[in-house]
Amino acid sequence: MTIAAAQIVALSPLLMITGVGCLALLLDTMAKGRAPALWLAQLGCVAALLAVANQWMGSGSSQPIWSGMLIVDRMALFLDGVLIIAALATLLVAAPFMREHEFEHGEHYALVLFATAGGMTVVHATHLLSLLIGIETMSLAAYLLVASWRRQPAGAEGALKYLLLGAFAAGFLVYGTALVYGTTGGEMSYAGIAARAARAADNPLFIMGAYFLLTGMLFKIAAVPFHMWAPDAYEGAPTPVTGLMASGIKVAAVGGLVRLLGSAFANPGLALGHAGWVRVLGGIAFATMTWGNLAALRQENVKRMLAYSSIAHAGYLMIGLVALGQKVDGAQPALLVYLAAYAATTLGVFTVVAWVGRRDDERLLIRDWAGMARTRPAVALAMTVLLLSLAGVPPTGGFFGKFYVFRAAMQSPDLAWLVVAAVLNSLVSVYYYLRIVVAMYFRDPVRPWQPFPSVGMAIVLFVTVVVVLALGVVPRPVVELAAGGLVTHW
Amino acid sequence: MPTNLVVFYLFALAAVVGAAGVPMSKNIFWSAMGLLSALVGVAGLYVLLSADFLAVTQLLVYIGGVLVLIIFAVMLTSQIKEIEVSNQNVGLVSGAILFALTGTLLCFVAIWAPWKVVLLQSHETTTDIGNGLLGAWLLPFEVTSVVLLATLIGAIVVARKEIKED
Repeated sequence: MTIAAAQIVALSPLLMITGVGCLALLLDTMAKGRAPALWLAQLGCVAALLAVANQWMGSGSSQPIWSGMLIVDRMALFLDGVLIIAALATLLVAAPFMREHEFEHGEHYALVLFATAGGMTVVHATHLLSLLIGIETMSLAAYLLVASWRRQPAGAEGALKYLLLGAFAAGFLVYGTALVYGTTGGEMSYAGIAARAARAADNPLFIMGAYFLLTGMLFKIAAVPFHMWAPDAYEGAPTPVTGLMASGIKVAAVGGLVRLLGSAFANPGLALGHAGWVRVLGGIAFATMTWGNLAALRQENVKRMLAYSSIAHAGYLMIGLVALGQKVDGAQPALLVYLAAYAATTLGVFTVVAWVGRRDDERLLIRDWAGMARTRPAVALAMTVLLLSLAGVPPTGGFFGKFYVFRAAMQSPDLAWLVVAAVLNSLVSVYYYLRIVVAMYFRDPVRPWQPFPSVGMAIVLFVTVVVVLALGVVPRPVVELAAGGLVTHW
Repeated sequence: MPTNLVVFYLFALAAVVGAAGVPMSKNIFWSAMGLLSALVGVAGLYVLLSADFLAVTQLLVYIGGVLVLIIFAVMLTSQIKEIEVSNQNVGLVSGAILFALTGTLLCFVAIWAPWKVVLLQSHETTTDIGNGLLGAWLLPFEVTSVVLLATLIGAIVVARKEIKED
C-alpha cells in the first residue's frame, strides 16, 4: 500500500486542521499566555479554508482516498467549508468568553480543532470504519469541551449525560457495523454494502444492523426519541461550545447520514418493509420537529430553548433525508443549503448568548433579556434577524433553507403530509422565537446592561448576520455551490 | 452435548449474568465483580472463536487494566461512605420494559436469521492484525491516535487543578 502525493493534497484540509491542533497544544505549553495558540488555531482554520477552495477549483470529479475509505468530492468540500468556518467562529467567540468566565485554557482550541477534524472525517467517510472513527473523534472532543467549564455544575451534569448516551450510541454504531459486515460477507465500504444489499436484505440481521447504524447516527443529531441528552448538554456547555455542537457537529452528523443513506442503503430493493427506512425516518422527523417545538414553548432558559429549537431543526433536516431516500432530484443540494444557513444562524445566535452573559450575571433567562434594544440596539437587531432566520421568515437564509428542502420533499406525493406538518411546526416556532424579541424590545430592563466588548464576537456576529441576510436576498451563489456537490458518484 | 457447546454456554452465562449484575446490584463492589464476570465471559467467547489476539487483549486491557483501576477507585475513594447503597437503581420499570422489548426483538432476529455455519480454522491472528493495522487499515489506525490524543488532553483539562495565571 503506497500513499500517493495526490491523496495527501486531496486530504490537505483535514490534515491541516489535525496538525494545527497538535501544534497549538505544543505552542500553548511553550509560549507565554494563551494568545499564540489561539492565533495559530485561527490561522490554521484560514489556511484549511484556502486548501478547501484550492481543492474545489482543482478537481471537478470525486476522488476516492485510501482504497475507498474516504472520498473527496464537492459535497464533502462544501461541508468541510461549513465545518471549518464554524470552528473559526467558535474560536473567535470562545477566547473572550473563557477570559470573561476565568477558565481560559489553550487545550480548548486544540479540542475544537480535533472535533472539527472528526466532523470532516465523517463527511468524507465512505466506509463504516472511517465513519465510526470520525464520529468518535468528534464526539469525544465534544464531551470534553462540554465538561471543560468546571465551575459550572451543570457542565459536569450535561457532559456526563452526553458521554453516557453518546457511548451508548457508539455501541449501536459498532453493533450495526458488525451485523452489516457479517451479513454482506465482509463489506464495510458503502459501495460494497450497496452492491450486496439486495441479497443481504433477506437476512433480518442485516436489517437490524442497518437500523442500529441509523439509531447511532440519530443519537448524534439529537432526533426524538434519542434527544434526551441535548438540552442538558447544551445548557451546561460553555456557550461557544453549545454553538459548535448545534452547528458544526450537527452539520457533520447530517452530512454523514446523507452519505450513508444516500449510498450504502440507497437500494430501493432493500427490504425493511418496502418503503423501508424512508418511512421510519419520516415518522421520526415528524416526532422530532413536533416534540422539539412543543418543548421549546415551555422553556424559560434561552439556552434550553435553543437546544429544543435545534432538536426541531434536526426534524426539518430529516425531511431532506427522507426526500433523499425517495430519490427526489435536488434533495441533497437543498439539504446542503439548509445546513449552511442553519449553521450560520446558530453560530450567530449563540454568539449573542455568549456576549450577553457576564461572570456574575449569566442572563440566561428570557426575562433577563428585557430592554436590550435600548442600550444595545445593534445587537438586538442582529439577534432579531437571526431568530427570524431560525423561525424561517423571509428574507433570511433560514427561510430559503427550509423552502428548498420543503420544495424538494413536495416533489414526492408521499411526503406532502410531512411538509404540511413542518410548515405548521414553523408557525408554532415563531411564537417562542418572538418571545425573545418581545423581551428585547418591549420590556423594561430588570438590571442595567453591561455586556463586555469583544472584537472577536462582534466580527462573528456581523459576518453571520450578513451571511444570513445574503442567503435570504441572493441565495443563488450558495445554491450553486451546493449543487456543485451533486456531481458525485459513490 | 459436545464439550465445545457446554463451554460456550458456560462463558455466555458468565457474560450475561455478570452484565445483569452490574446495574442490578446495590453494592458498587459487587457491580465491579459482575463486570469482571462479564468481561471474562466475553474473553472466553473470543477464545472459542479462535480470536486469540482479541482474547488476550481483552484480558490485559479490560480485566488487567480497566477493571483493576475501577476496583481500586472503589476501594480507595473516601467519598463512598455507605458502600451498601452506593448504586441506586432508578427507572426500573421503564428499563424493564425497554429491556423486554429489545431482548425479545434480538432473540426473535437471532432465531429467524439464516446463520451460515462454517468450520473454524484456528490459526494465529496476531500477524494478520499487525499487518492489517500497518497496511490496509493504516488510515483509521492513525486517526485513532487523534482520538486518543484528544481524550488524553481532555482528561487532563477536566481532572487538573485550576491554575490561576498571574
